[in-house]
Amino acid sequence: MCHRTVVHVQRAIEAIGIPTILITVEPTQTVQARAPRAVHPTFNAIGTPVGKAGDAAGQRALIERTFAALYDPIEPGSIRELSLS
Amino acid sequence: MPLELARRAIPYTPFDRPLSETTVALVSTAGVHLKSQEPFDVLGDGSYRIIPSDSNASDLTITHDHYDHTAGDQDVNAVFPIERLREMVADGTLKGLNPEFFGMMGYTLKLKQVLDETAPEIAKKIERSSTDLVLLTGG
Repeated sequence: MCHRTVVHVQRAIEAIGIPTILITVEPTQTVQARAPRAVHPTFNAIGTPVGKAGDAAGQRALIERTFAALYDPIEPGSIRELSLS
Repeated sequence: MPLELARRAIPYTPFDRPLSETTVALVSTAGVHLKSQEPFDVLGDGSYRIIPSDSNASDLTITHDHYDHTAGDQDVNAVFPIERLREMVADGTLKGLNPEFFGMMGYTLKLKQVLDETAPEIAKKIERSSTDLVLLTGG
């Protein structure tokens, strides 16, 4: 449910004209809630959407890939899957 | 009277700004809040907490019963990457961070409260700030 709630907030922010991007590990819920922009790192799980505890390099790499997706947009409401390598 | 967004509609604002000129805010429903703040009600809570973006990671905690937050307890950046974003400002990747980040638990049966109060309040605070981009995470 928290993956639905976050999309409600995301939609409100996007609707006032500020771009957003969501890192989701519950892609089905994210699509159903109609997220404007989302990435799904398939190698991360619930509890570690950004990366494993202590893995600063992995967390940083994921955030950079998430931001990079902003410049290669896909249809709003769909999700960009990010896989390892 | 603000325009009401149809549930099936998808709002979309283009982003074409260089990251080095971008101020970022972080919003999460992973249940993160300051230890000094009132914890979320794990039975359901649609409220939010303002988390200063210069908070020490050690001053943050997670109150949430609907996912295993062992990783986030050890390293809050696993769900709420506050230190990673600060590093990206320090090395020039990003221009800056909004002074206010936002934490929610996300589990609530009061959807109307989220739609009518919490989401618009957070959006309005962000609109009035210098934020150019919002990064969001779930649990």
